[in-house]
Amino acid sequence: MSKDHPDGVLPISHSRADIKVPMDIQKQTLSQLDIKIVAAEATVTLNVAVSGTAQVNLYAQSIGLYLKADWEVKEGNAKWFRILSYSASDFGESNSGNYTVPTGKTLYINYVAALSKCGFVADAEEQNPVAVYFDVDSATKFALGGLIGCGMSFVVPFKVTAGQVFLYSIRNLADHQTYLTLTVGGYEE
Amino acid sequence: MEEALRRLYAGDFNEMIQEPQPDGSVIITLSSENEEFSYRFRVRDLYGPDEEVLEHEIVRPELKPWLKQRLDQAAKQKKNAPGGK
Repeated sequence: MSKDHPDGVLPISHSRADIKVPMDIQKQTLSQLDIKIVAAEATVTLNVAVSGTAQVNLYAQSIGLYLKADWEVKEGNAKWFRILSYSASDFGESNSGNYTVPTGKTLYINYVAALSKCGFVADAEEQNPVAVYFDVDSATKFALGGLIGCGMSFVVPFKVTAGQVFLYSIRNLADHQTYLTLTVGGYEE
Repeated sequence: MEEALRRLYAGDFNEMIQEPQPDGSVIITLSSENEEFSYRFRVRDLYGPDEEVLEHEIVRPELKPWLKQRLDQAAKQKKNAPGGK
């Protein structure tokens, strides 16, 4: 800290056409840090690790902010698990798929959609109740049902860790035959 | 280990389609966003002690020749269009 500012205030003001401001602040207490950056062209890297309030205001024509799930999809880490059924299922029958999460990875599920469609014209006016289950290591952790299908997005992702067996299944609960389709989406990192 | 199975165990895919078969086996298709082909294989006792790959193939989607011709033509014309790159 400059001796010219013994009160701890270090004002920075510069009006040249091009400036560079490397900054490294590591103190127990940082009572105030207000930064205003206005430039036609700029590369700004801001790393903030504080306990307290950190408010970042970004104003630019080309800034993209991604939620975690969206970012992982953008980075190519999306995971889609689909079950396609080409044969009709009777009442109580289910179709399932499974996946063992690889070593060193974690699977996050944030989307599920299921469809149950009747197998015969005679049942076209009927509802097709269906149930969806997520099992992890043979224990049911999630269930969802609907009358012709069902689906939801997860506010908190469904997490499956490395080595765990993730089994996703869809079951026909109608008194007639149906075709079952299930899609489960998320990302793995 | 078949390449498709390796990818399954390593998680090297973006989409997995499972088609349960009457004999208890399952047909699995693995595809990735950055590859133009998929692995399609039939496996018995998936993740079980007697796991066995029964069939294995690489599926390459074939673009219809007339579609490819139009896509190539559009890309070529775009380069010559005003402001094209």
